[in-house]
Amino acid sequence: MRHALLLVLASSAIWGQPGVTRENWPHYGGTYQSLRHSALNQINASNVKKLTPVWTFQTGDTDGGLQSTPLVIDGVMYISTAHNWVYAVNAATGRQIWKYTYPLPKGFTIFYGPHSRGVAIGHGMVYMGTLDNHVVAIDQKTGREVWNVTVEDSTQCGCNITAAPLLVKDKVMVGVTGGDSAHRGYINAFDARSGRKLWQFWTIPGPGEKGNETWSGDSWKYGGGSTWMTGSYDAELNLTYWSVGNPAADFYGASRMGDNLYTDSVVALDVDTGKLKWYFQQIPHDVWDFDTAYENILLDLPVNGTPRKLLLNVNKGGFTFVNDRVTGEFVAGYPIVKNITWIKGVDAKGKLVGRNEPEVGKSKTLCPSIGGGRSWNQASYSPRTKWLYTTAIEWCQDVTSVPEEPKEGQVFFGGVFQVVHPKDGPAHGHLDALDPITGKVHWSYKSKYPLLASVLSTDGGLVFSGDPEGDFFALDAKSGQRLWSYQTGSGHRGSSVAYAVNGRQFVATPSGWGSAVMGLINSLWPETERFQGGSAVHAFALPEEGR
Amino acid sequence: MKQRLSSVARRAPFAPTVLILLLPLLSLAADPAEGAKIFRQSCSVGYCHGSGGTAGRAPKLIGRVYQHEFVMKVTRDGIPNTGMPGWKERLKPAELDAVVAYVVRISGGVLPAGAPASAAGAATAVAAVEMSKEAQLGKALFFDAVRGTRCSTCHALEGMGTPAGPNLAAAFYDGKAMREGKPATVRQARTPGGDSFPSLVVEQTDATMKIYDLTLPPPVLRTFVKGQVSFSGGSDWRHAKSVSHYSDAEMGLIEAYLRWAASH
Repeated sequence: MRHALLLVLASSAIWGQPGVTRENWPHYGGTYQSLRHSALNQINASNVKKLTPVWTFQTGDTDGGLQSTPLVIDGVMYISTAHNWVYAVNAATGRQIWKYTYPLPKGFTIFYGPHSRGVAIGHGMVYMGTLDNHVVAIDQKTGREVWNVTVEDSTQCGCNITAAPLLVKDKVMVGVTGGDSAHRGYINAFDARSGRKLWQFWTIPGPGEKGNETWSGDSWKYGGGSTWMTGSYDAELNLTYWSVGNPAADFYGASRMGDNLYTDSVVALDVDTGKLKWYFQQIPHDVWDFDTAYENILLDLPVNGTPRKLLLNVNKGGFTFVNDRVTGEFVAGYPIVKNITWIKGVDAKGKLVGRNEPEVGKSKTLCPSIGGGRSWNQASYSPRTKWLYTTAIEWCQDVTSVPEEPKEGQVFFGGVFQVVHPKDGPAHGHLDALDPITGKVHWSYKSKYPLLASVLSTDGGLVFSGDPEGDFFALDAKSGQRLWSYQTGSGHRGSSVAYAVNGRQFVATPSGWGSAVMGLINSLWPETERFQGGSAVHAFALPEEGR
Repeated sequence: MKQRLSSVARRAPFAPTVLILLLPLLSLAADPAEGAKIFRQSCSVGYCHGSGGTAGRAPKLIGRVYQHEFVMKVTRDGIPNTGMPGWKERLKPAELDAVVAYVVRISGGVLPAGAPASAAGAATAVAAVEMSKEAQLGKALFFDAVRGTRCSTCHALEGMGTPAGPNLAAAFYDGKAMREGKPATVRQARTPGGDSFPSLVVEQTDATMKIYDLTLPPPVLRTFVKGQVSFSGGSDWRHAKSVSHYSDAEMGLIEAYLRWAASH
């Protein structure tokens, strides 16, 4: 009966809406389109005030916080923690079913911090990239390891895997960190059943390959180009879309003259072969560490009256690009922050206008800060409101470029910086509802501190996210008004999800403060040094009698 | 990471005493300008300690009042399983001394007269010098990241690489063995699902069996329920295929490196 009620409530909204989640939350971005939008509406703007905690699951792995997106399949939640533990938990009760502890080697340096942002599930297995740059497959029923493959020795490459894999058909696709190290990035695909490597896409072309000429001298060997967030997939086009991060050294570009392909680009690859179909470089010759690294949201919307298959990507420089995902053609671009001084904007073809670059031996104030006009935490898109919901951060930095030579696998940064407040007032965060094509702001929810948790939207007319102080909150999707909140006891840096078990809708959020940008935040807001760490998942639902 | 560092910091006054006794006490006058420069290039970069130790991803160093011996230990050896690497093999001894002195100073700590220097860096430098030019070039080829698949994809040496193949520090394999080797330990494995692959058995317990699948590089460590896999005596797997992208000249250099590795 309950089940039927939920389906009726949801069904009017979900027909004709691809890319939204329903009972399950099967992929990192919700679905392959990475909308992070749920068609469930049992919890909605009219009853959200009654939303109640049902269970809390403590992972025990608190160092590094909890940045995960839990996946939910058929009433079971799968959670990966900072040090690559994986839990299967009853999604209705929070009771542990199994735990897998990845055997991390002792005494190695964890590059880019201890984080795991999620897993991928299929073929009866749970797939995870690890802090020492392995990929493992775990039996979905028992939690036992099935296969384990080294992508590249992390002590040599200065790189590892923190992003969730993307599973498409029989291929487990995995990116890599290492964009601020002397390293050459890639995306790998492994056979889902055996772990055998099927293809590798180098994000920096080698000698003789098209694009290698965009790197002076030997700079291509250590040019960064990491793929540190999970890609998306269009089944009809059979293309997978990944974002390639900044070139290294980050702030010093004189030793890597040229456009530095395919750094700061969105690349569209054939899933079966790994071959490049198209690319769009947002930032040629990046000298700001402004990573085109984040999620690729796949939207089908009319532009000037013509239906288009689109791809929306917000980058770390606080600028959003919208492209045609069939051809890569530029469609639109707009900033999501007010404080943006590294460029003046883009022209009709999406080319950067008015570059303002760091200089050697001279400190310069540039906005946003290296922490990003937005961090990697993801936006959501609601097919119901047709708005994009994204966080943004107003902050700047004093930056100086410093010449630097690469040493394989070691930090290769080429500059120093100090985060500062913008000229017009204190640094702060906001969560906005935007038109995805024009960037027009419909409402803006202001936050004292940067918001570093992903956004979840639902057909219940709600937008969920969390803040560094520990509040998990719900906003009205139409007005931005704060309708509900719950103090989880630790700050938010993960991604909340919606799902249903036996007709009862849940919203669950990770909480657990810990992040690569925490130090930047401490330097502007010293009191945040005292914010408590943690690592827990909290699940909420309406009271049984209230439904 | 911050919490972990703090807990180490609390233990610091007692822990490194033994270490200090083992080190030669040199009264190197650490160069302050040099320390600041090394800090800028190696420590304040990225999301690490921030400009002048004001904090990035890694903890703030200003005002923490660190003791010299603690900073030296952490800087030399790193903090295992955190983002803090050991610098003893990355910096020369004088550079290590300079940057440690700089960190102690910005933390508000007091530098002892005749601060102890780092012997480990010197020891590493000596070890590195013993390698011939050929062996050094061979080492670069052994770990050549540009190739994607390289020797270290299947062999570990000097703490790097995947230890699927034989331990090359324990026995020397010449160019002929590398070209023509047909190891008896590689056997064809078969699963009930019909999968058949060249394999190396790594570990067996009463319940499970861990096997390297050598079908394609990199080797995949697969776990099976015991009895699920059957083996035939031989395999058509050949080492020659794995090294086919190295030229004869390159193989000669790799051989020089392997000779060095097996004799150290």
